[in-house]
Amino acid sequence: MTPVSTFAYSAASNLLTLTWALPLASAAALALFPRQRVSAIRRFALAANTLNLILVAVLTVLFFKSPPVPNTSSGGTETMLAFAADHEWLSVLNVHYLIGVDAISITLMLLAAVILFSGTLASWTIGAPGGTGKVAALASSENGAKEFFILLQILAAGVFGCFISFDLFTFFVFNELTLIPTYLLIALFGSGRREYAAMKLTLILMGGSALIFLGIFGLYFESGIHSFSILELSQVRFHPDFQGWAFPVLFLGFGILGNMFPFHIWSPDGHASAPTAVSMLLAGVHMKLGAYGCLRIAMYLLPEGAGMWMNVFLIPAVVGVVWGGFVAVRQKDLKYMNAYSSVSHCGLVFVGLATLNLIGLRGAVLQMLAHGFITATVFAVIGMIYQRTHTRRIPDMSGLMRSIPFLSVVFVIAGMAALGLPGFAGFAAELNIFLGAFAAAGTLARMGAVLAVLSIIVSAIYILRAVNGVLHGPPKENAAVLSDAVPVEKIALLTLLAAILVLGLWPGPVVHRIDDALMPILNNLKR
Amino acid sequence: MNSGLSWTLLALPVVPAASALVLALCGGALLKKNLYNVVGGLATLAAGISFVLALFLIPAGLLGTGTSVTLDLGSWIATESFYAGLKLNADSVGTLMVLLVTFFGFLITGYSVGYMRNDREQGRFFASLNLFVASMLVLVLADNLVLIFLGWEGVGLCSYLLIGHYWNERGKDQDVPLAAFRAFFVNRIGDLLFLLGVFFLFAAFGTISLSELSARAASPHGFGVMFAGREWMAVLAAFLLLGGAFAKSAQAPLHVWLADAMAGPTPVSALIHAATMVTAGIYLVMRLDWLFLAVPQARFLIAVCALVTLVVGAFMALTQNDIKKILAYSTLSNLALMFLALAAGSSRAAMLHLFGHAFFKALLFLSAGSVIFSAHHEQDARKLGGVLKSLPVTRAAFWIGCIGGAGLIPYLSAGFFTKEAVLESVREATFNGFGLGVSGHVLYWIVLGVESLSALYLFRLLGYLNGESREKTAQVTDHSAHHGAHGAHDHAHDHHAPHESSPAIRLVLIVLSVAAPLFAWLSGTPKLTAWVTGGLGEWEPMQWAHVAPFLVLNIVLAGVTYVVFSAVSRREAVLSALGSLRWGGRGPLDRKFWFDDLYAAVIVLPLKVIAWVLRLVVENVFIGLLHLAGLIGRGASRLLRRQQTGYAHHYAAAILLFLTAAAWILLWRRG
Repeated sequence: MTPVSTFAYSAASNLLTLTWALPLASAAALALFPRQRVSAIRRFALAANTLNLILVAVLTVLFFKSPPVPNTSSGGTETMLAFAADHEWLSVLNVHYLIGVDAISITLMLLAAVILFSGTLASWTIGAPGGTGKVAALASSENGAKEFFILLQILAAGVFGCFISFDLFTFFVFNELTLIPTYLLIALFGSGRREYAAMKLTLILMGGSALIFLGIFGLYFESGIHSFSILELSQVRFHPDFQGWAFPVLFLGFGILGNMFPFHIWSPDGHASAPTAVSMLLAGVHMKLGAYGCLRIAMYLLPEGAGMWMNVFLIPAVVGVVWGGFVAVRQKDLKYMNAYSSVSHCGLVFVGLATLNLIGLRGAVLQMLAHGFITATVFAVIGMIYQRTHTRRIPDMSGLMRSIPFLSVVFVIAGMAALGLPGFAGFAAELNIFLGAFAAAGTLARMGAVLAVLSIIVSAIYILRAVNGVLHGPPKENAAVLSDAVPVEKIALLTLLAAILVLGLWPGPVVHRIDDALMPILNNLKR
Repeated sequence: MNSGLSWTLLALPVVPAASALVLALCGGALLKKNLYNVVGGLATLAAGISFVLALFLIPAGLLGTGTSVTLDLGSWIATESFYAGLKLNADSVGTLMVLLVTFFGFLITGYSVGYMRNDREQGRFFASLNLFVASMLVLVLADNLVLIFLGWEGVGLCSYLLIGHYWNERGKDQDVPLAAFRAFFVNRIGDLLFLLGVFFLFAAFGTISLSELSARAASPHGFGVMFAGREWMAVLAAFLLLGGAFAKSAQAPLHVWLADAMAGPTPVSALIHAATMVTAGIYLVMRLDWLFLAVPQARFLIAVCALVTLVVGAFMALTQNDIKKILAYSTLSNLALMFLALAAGSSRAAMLHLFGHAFFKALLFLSAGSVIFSAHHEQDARKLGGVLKSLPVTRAAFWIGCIGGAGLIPYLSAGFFTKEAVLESVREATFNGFGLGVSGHVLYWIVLGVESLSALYLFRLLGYLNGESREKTAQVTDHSAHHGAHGAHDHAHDHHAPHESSPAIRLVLIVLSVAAPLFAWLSGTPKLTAWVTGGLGEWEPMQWAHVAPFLVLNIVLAGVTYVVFSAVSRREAVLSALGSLRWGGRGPLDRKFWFDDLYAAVIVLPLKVIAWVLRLVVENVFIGLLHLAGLIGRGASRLLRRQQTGYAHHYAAAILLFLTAAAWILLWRRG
């Protein structure tokens, strides 16, 4: 009955395991480093993450060369996995280590790998001893590079583990694995009200996890087959009464992680307080686990529930889009501005999901990718500006264009991408979401689409306001001493920008495969 | 199916785009090595190549019979039903626009080499200028509305970047970053309407391909079938798309950004804010003429807004003292003329005036730029008395531009026949909509009257610049703080009388001074208008009897104005007489017809209030609720903690209590 693809048990599945084992192993190896050898520590972390990026890139290429095409012509609902493997590891509960990827998860993994790589470069100055060289001069004084990178690698391992898991229990374990390092990274290495922010984030996400836990055990027992396998559960038709309560539980649980209004309140404080690389990883990738779970687990396994509830969830999604934008306009702190803009952009993901049609779902997946890359770029460049100016407050800055032209230009480009300019990834995603909502049945969705499109004006306000405040105007007196981006920072930013441009100018191939992967979910929704 | 000629369609935007990329990446390095001419030269070369490539399109696009060059590169953002392809198409309208964009793009980029030669940030300038040309070419060549939107937003971005080129100027009289912000923001409102319009158009017709839409509309039965049952969607789409067109082409009430846009360098004003980008809205309406012909209400709205803009532009131009502002308001008024032609259903007249305006306005702006450059960035016409006397080439160009703009001499004024075509189309039409009807004859006389003001404001300006100087040293003003950070021109120039400074500037002025009358002469012959109007309707021979009042009125007005304003004593006598008519700075002209106040009240204030309220709610209600939950949790934990007393008898009592309760529940339920 297990519909594992023809690629099952290929050698490549071991490579897939390696994507989370490698960060975890590197975390263990980092523990052995003497803490004074900061340079060696970050080089090692960079090496591990570069290797992982190469690994994921190779897997992506392999995937796109011969993608598993699900048989969906006649309404088939079975997801086809590439590089699949299946091992039982907790026989009491029939828990399997069931891994594999489809187009949605492999592209999200590539997103994670790119952001981890550039995040490592962006946090190059963490714990660098002051005094020598240009990079060191920029360094923050905190000498905790070892702990920082160990925790970052554990967080990464959890993220990769989630994206390859097609067993709910294993997914849940990996998801929980991300929470502890997140708490510590913010509480130890953050700025501002970091302990408050870390506590708030962790408690609310734990609440989300509790709902997810409830939901997946409901699925386990209600299915009648006592299985955690997504592949098997997707073929079960759950009783509508069960779907009626289990869907909102699961969708809310994942929605909290996915930054859905009004449960977004953990994210602005959390993301603003976190150190640069962690903000990038949290907003860029970790948050996507929520939307991914909504799509892959809540909607795929409980399609009737989705049909019953999606109009209800459309309302907070649209409110979040507009709300996040307006609140971002009022922020004086650049990181808070971007965090609230994330609320708005993640709201668009949920609008896309709520359409329940192919265009909207595709838009939602594209928006996960686009927002991941764009928000990571913005957080990276804000972090780099902060290292130089030691402030993130817009009123305290002016005319940085003169002293840090490279960072300024990247800031403008990333801002333009964030406000949905065509040619960048965000536009391809937003266009599909708006169209999907427009094409969706019902006046509510159409009204939601019109309201959501309004966000393109609001996003223009906060982006241009920040650009005008920070980069334009007469330069401050002390601006001349600021130095522009160093090569590691340039590599980090250019990698991210390249991803944004490729996805924006040439989304065709990715869209094609994502459509394939969405068809089983869609067929389940239609059945 | 893609022939060699098709690939030139791709090369057209790709060449300047590639040059923009190179300049963006290496511009800074080149400038550090003082290779200033390489930067400008590369940009000019790229624009020049595009122009040469555009010439190859002439045989098929203009002279051919109904054939058009197309290039299909497959899908861009494809969906099963919403197909946004990478398809470029050059029919006669497209070819004309390509020629216009590349010709002026090439000339003005070359001009900028001279104008910007002392600017330390010209890498960014030329990169943006090239990217602008590329985006504009995508806009005019795109075959579907989403691809048009790519170009549409691209030109908007470049406009924003170039208006904000002097980004560190935030003075009392001029806030450059704010001007750029406003331009982008107003255009963003237009973009919102445009996108919604595209969605409704798609919902109504199921395609966004322009060629497919117009082919369907052209087929004999297609038109009725197309609209059947979806009229309201098509009407809504027409209005929404019109909003987008109004923002880009600066029509009331979305015109407010254009005068601010003059904060950018003058070549930018010439290329983007006069000759090319601001015509994008007119181009869009022209492309969708089948839709607007079917929706008379939309054409009525165009006529109303265009009339308002015409009046606002002409009267504002009369009272401005900044050279560039005068020209900018004159641009508003001329764009309004093109829209009036569209409202009358004559794409032919609109296209003709689009060309005529491009010629004389580019010439005017470029000669104004030459004046401004020579006078160390002084832009106040009152302080530039007689400046043209020491600039012979600029002086000739300015005269030709003014004569062209005011339409004084047939076959020499670039604007003469083109304005005449617009007026003629308005006279022939009737405007109906919303239960109202206006005869074209009424409108004709209004437009004729208002448009005559162009002779007034242009020759007032010329009177200042070419007449007597109030003080002999007026040209040299205190500009040490001005543009100080932006270039070495303060050091390059000594403070002496203005002189023609750059060969590039002079060369381009000469070329345009020849080209504009040439266009004027051609525009009077059926030959050119036949090309221009290949796809846009019949050529109607002009009736000189209709032209005569226009001509006489303009010549008289221009002459009187010039005589008054060229002499200081006469000028001041007239101004003081007029001054008594002003309403203490509160009149419509002083308040820009209250449009800025309208924006402050209708858009800015509500947005601010919403943002303020939403943020207040986030801060207080949600976080308050969260903290309340925290308090409850803490209270509950305190309560529970109290139970952990550590005394065995307390625990024993609790266990007993629980067991009793459990037993009672079990028994009760069984019973």
